[in-house]
Amino acid sequence: MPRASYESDLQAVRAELLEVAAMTERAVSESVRILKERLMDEGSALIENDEVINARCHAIEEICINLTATQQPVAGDLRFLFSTMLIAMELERIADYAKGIARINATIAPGPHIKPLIDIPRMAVVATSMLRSAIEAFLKVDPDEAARIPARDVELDLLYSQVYRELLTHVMQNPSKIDDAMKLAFSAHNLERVGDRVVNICERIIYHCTGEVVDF
Amino acid sequence: MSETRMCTSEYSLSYGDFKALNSITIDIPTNRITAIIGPSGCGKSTFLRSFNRMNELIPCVSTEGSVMLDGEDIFEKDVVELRKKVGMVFQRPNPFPKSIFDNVAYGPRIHGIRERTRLAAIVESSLKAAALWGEVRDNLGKSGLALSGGQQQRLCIARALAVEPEVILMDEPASALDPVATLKIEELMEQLKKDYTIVIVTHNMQQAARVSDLTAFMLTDENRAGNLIEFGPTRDIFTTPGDKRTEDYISGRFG
Ligand SMILES: Nc1ncnc2c1ncn2[C@@H]1O[C@H](COP(=O)(O)OP(=O)(O)O)[C@@H](O)[C@H]1O
Ligand SMILES: [Mg+2]
Repeated sequence: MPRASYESDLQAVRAELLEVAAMTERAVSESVRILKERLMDEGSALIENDEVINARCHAIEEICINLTATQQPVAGDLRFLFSTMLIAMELERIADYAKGIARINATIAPGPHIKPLIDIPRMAVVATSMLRSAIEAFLKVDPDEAARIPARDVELDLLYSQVYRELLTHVMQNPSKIDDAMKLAFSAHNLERVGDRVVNICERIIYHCTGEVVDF
Repeated sequence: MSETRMCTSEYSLSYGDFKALNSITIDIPTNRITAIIGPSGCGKSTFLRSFNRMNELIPCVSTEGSVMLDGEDIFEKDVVELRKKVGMVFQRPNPFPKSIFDNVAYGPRIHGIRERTRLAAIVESSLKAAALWGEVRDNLGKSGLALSGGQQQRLCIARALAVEPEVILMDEPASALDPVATLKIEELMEQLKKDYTIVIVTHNMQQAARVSDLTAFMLTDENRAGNLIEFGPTRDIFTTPGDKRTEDYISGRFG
């Protein structure tokens, strides 16, 4: 087979992206579990794990750059490498949002939240399932599937404004809780941003599949 | 899209019983660089030579279909007139064993220009257009063969330009040159396309990607006849080719 090592490098970078995507998805779910259940000891592992995700994302970017520089990829290979690199950058950001939520949890004094978290965990479910669908669409080279995912971002936006309004109402009744309420609002905002990043990933997937640069 | 300078329609060519080109239809646009790529033996050079009837020099060649220049059938034109309009540059630089001046003045002289000052003006403008003037202006009496490979190739380009062609055919013009001389030729092509229509055969895909506006991909079929598989803007061919065979070839997954 011609260019055997190039082929295996392409396969390896694809496998690496999938693993990092799975790690990122877990980081998001885990950060919200930590926040919801007020797990004060588990945040530091997640924060450390973020370093690993960063490093692996950078490694993916480096491989993509090196293959581009040395192998002159064109057509499908070129689109694959560019979209992989850009998706890795989005994953890194998504993992940062998860880290942000774990950090926020650490700054809220131990004990139950000002109110039980219902919609924030829902947001995490929507955001992670969007991410999982996106990665599947990437794997299957399915632009139609990738084009359907951004619509689900609307759900995240709705949940976010709901969380925000509730926290606002709560603060008006209990002004002393403003600090904690704002922290929860930040957490919800982070999840809302995860959705935006997944939408960016979908744009890259469509480029990978069709060569078309779209903007959702 | 600019207008068509040359076109072929269902053009086939055989060497005796062997069909080397199978029904090729293509439009070559004016003031653009069209690259023809494909594995060796797929008929690129044969096809290129079809644009100025160079294949006629080979015995037993027969053709079908048409080749047009500015809407006129090239087989109905005077062949000397045709080759004046459609010049050619080859893989190996092939200057005549004459002075630089005489190399460039050769074509104009054949076409009846005798006047020394006019010839001198043509030599100067052609050498300038071929980006060689600055390097040879003080040595026009020197033999063309004394130049470096890259300079010789630019001399051959100047020689082709001297008869004021409309189209320049180039068959792997840089394959015998080092990377610096190659870049000079590529830069030169970019300048020349303002005034000329260029068709280049190259086995170097990166070169096609770098210099051309349009790319034609050729491949042999099961009878070893060359077919045009895909033709389109170079940008599209190298990012989103329409045919799997094109993608495999340009991605290096061929053979
Ligand atoms: N003068 C010729 N006589 C017979 N066959 C030829 C001649 N020139 C080329 N061929 C054959 O035509 C085919 C295409 O050759 P060519 O046009 O040189 O391909 P390419 O330029 O793509 O390498 C090859 O099979 C080659 O052997
Ligand atoms: Mg050839």
